[in-house]
Amino acid sequence: MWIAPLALLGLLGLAIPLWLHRFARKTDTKHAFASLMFLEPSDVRRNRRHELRYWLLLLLRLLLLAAVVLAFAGPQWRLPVKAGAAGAALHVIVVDTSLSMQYAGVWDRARAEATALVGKVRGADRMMLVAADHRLRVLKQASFAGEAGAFRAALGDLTPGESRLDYGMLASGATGWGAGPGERIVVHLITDLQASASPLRFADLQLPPGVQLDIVDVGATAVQNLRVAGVSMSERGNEALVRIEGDAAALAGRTLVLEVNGAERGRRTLSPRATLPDVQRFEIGELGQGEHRLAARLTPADDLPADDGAYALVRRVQPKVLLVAASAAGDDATYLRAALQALAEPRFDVEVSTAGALATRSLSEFAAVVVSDAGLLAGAPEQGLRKYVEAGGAALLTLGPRTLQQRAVPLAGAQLATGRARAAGEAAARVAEVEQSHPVLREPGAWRSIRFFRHVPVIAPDGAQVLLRFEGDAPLLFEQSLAKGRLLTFASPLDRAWNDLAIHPLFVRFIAESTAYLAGARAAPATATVGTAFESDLARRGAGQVFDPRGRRTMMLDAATSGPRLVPEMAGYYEVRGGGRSDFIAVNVDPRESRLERMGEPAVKRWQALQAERAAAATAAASAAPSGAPERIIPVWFWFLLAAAALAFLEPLVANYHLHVQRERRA
Amino acid sequence: MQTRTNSPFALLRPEVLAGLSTLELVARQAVEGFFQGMHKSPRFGFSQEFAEYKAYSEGDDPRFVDWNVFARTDRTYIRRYLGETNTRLMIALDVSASMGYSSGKVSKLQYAKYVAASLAYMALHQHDPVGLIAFDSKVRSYRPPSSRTGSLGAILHSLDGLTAGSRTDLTESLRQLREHCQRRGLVVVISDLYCEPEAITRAVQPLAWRGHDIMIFQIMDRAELDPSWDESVLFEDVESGQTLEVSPDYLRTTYKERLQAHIEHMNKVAGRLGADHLLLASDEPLDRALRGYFMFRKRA
Repeated sequence: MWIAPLALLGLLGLAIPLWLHRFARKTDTKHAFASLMFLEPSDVRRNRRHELRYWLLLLLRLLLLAAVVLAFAGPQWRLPVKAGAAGAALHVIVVDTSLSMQYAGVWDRARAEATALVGKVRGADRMMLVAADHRLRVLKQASFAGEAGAFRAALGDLTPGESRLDYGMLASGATGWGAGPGERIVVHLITDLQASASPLRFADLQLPPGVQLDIVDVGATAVQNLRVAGVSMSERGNEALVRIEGDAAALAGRTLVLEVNGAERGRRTLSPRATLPDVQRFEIGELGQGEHRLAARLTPADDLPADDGAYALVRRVQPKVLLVAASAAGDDATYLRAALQALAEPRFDVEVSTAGALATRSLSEFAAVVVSDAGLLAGAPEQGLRKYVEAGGAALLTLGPRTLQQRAVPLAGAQLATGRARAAGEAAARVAEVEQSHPVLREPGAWRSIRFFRHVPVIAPDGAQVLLRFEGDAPLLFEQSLAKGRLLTFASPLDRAWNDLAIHPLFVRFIAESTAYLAGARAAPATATVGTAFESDLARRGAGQVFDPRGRRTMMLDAATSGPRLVPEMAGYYEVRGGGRSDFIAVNVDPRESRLERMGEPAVKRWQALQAERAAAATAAASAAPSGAPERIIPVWFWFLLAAAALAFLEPLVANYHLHVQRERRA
Repeated sequence: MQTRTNSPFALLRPEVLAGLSTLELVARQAVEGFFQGMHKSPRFGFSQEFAEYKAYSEGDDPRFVDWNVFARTDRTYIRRYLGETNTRLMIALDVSASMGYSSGKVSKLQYAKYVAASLAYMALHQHDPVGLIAFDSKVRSYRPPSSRTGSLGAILHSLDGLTAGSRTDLTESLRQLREHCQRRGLVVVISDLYCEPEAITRAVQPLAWRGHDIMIFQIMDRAELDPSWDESVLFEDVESGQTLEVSPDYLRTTYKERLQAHIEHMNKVAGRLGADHLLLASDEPLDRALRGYFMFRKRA
């Protein structure tokens, strides 16, 4: 059997060395001779010793070429294996390595069962070792019993992780294990039969047809587990809240420790009489500006120590916002400042300034800039603000009467439409289209109730996303990117002569949420669960790396660029370094792994019965259909490759020898 | 590298003779050099001892008419001397393509011309009539024997104009020679004898039967006699154009044996015909050829 039989056409290339040697052996130069009367054609092979060596070289070259061609053709030797009475089987030993398997004694039983299974594989049967948690990892490919030592070594190195196993995922992923024709697949699932590992639908437990399921239960029958379900800050922002769940019997003698930024900030012995779930409060006072790492853990560790801790990030920020208006005492400045300061979280530090100051002062300290009328920016202020936005800043522009004096909206670059602005006295326009998915537009109904008497007609620039449109399709609010920064443009001022937005409750929320959005203050602290993909922003930063809680680098720039998905494998704080800053990701274990309740006996039996039926049906179908005897495939091409390598080594040696002899002869 | 030597025969080396401008100079140099080496007078065989009177016939040199006898008897007789009997020399020169072969400076044909010129020079100085017939597959040039003044120049001129031609047909060519040589004489065949011994027999035997004294000079190149090749060589027959790849081992062994057998066979054939056979290599001095002729001439 050949993997690529067409490659055998390469054997035609054997003619090349044959032709070359024949050509090379033939004497080209003719020498005149008086008469051939006494001459006869010579038998070169018999008479010329060095010609014999050329034949050796030719033979080497032919063999080299043939070996290369045959290696590429990929010959495989199908060796019929002796099937037992029940036929050969592929035993897939799937070991549950989820967090719950760390429970005292469970892993030792699992390893012992797996080792025993390895020892039972005999004759033509093969075995395969797979670790199952949030993914399926093939630790040892299908091999015969002779490889049992390697399997045992792999089992010795295997330890349970902190992620979750879902039996549904296992069932759907149990394909493509390379069973030979006629070879049965028997999946030996060594697991603790955790109830929380079951999928929502029982049918999702079905393994592929023809696969026999052998469940090896290694779970503990009587379990007591206490877990820290989570840690957070109170609404008031001065207390840390730690949620405790699990079995009350495990409360005795346990102490809860709270740490903030690695330093212990509280310790409390848990009452054995407490009712679970319970929330423990730690008075830690107001946290300062910046990001804080909260960790809560139980001591001493119980039989499942991996879920005895919880981690959270708390962000305390007070972004500075620059409000640009014609006058600090103007209505627009007053409205805007009031709206910005109405937001409790985050709390904006608002500074009011005139447009002229934009050209001279640094804006890098501000999280966002709000401009009451973009027309104020004409000239040097526009350059200053553009520099700030393009460097990564953000701005909210409202367009007013001063903008109408321009041909295009400063900074945004949007051309003013050729039509006139809506005149006073005309029927008010209303919002017709709301991009609800945008974080600043959560109340579409409220927007439609606002009347716009006038607005600045603009044409949204290329690349801009229109978030609000009037009935006539004219844009009211659009967002665009300027280099690294963002810009929101609202095509109407906050003047009651232009619209009645200011008297609606939506006004405060819109201004505050827009500014918070632009300032990035709405980004929630990064949290993730072990075994669950987390979208890292490493790719956007352009460079960086990710370190796990033990300080080991787990992700580099290249990997991040190709796919900025981080799948944490342990609980704790992952650190993301890049783009000139360092951020943390709080990673907690999946709470379902802490629930050690076992699947009910009927459910397990039903699962096995279901799979047995499917396997029997598949076997019957397979026996009805003609199929070849089980075979063992031996990759002969590999030996051809080795032979080619050896010949490639010998060929230049022999060729050089001939050249050497020729040089000597000529000399 | 050539070795300088004081031997007068050194001047007879073909590569030395090849430096001379004309065949006449070559012949003179060869013959006089030969006799200088022999310490003999170049006036060889010019005997003054009267042998007999012979009735004049057409073609005889009138200088030898005995006018005194004519005055007394009114008949023309010519006087003959002892050294003049059977001295009509006919040179049959093979100019086939194989004679044009050369591995050095002098080809076999060129060497054959030197030999022919030297013999003609020697013979004409003895007042022997000398003729020339050049042939390959047919007669290419013919000059009847003559001892008249200017004969030497004419023969040398004929020799000078000969070039290697095509295949050899010794039998046919010598048959035509027989037609031209009705009178007994000395026939010198100069050829490389690339033919079967039977062909030589068929060609030469009729001449012997007619009473001609025959001498065969077999001219061979050194590369033919002793080929030395380190590797297989592709030979092309200069006459037929055929090619043949030959191993050096064959050339060293079988070829030499076959060639030697051929030469010995030719020697035996010549012996059976009463002819002299002398093998000459085209790179050896001419003295051996001249000595052979000289000895043959004395016997004849």
